[in-house]
Amino acid sequence: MSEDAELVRECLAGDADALRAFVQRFQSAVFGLCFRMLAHREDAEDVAQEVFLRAFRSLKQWDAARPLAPWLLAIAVNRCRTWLSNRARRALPAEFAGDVADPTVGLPRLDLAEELQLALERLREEYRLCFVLHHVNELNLAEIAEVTGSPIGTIKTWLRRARLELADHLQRRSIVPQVNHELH
Amino acid sequence: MNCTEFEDRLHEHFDASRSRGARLGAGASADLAEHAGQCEACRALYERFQFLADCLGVWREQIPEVDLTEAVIAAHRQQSTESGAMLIAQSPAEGGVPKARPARRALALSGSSGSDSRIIRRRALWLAAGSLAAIAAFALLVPRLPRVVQKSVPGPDVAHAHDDRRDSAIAARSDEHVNDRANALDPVFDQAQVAYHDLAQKAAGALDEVAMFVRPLSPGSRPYSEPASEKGTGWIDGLQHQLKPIGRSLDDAFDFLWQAGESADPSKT
Repeated sequence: MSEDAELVRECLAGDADALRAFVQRFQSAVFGLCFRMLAHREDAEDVAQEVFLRAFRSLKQWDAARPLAPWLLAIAVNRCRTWLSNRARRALPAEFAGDVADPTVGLPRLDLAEELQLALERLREEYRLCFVLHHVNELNLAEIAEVTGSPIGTIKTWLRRARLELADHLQRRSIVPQVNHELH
Repeated sequence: MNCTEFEDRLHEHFDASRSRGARLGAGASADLAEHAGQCEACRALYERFQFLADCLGVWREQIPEVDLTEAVIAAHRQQSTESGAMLIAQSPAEGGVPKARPARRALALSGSSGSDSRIIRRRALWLAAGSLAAIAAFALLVPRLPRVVQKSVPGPDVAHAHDDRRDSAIAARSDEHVNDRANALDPVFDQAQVAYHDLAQKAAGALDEVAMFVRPLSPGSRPYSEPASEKGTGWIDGLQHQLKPIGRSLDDAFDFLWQAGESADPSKT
């Protein structure tokens, strides 16, 4: 029996320590995804908690032949999408939203991580999701395809577009240093 | 190598460098370097990817550490107690009541959106806006009432001005009539003024409440950053920002409430 299957079996048996181990094992991956997708720490904590609760409720449905992490991340992706959708529904009125159509204009320069997060928030949700799953959760294209339920070719395209748009955004923000990096 | 092939290879090289934890330039193949040396657009693209890789390295390290374990377990217990099904076997001493239940988590689980402070802030803002609208309506209506009454019912001064030309008995009856009407209307005015004053106070209170919950906004603040009190300009800016959709500035709102409260205060009339 795999390590994942053993952990799930103990959780289903009602072992509180196993549930704790479950959370501790996956919380950084789940929270990291939520944090980078939602760009808000408290929202990310709420969603991450909800992900674990949903996972606990659905543990019996997990296919022991498949790895646990992508299954859990798929729940996280769905919860993040729902959260973002709800957030968009509570969006600002159109007349007001016009004032913040491009919030990056006029912003002072930020540190590198903040600049990248700012750029990421400007991406389409699908691009952002692929980028985060690949670069935060370190999933390969096939795993991202499984988590998101999209074809690998589509994931590859989204990931490439995400990188290009991010690179372009950083260029527009004029923070790409004008130095010639040597190719070795 | 053409430009399309260069871009394909650049993406592959980007991933390979990331997995090795190396800088983007390290280990680039000779044909990649050769094309970048010849094509200005591809070299620019390479420069952008190089910078993106540098940002990515810092960005990945800035995910805060969290420990959700106890919050999740407590929430799971709470949820299971309500639904009657749970994974954790409870000891009799626990009695089905969770030992720890963070308020924010509990709200998130009880069916709300989880962002309770945002909801409270939004409700307070709407309360303030509604109160302002009600006060505006009173401000438009109440000052007109006395003029209407004066037109339809001669006041005591007007009646006395006719004394020279009218019979004193008629003047007395007129005074009596006016006083009756005025006495009948007094409670209406009093009630209106009291209601007006109460509304002004409620609106001011609501604005105070909004101020407590409004997250400071500044051009440089972002929701994932640290509290803006450290870098932003405070809640005043945040409130002004959020009052903008209802067409009021914060100064207008406070001035209006202040004047409304002063003019409607029954103790000063």
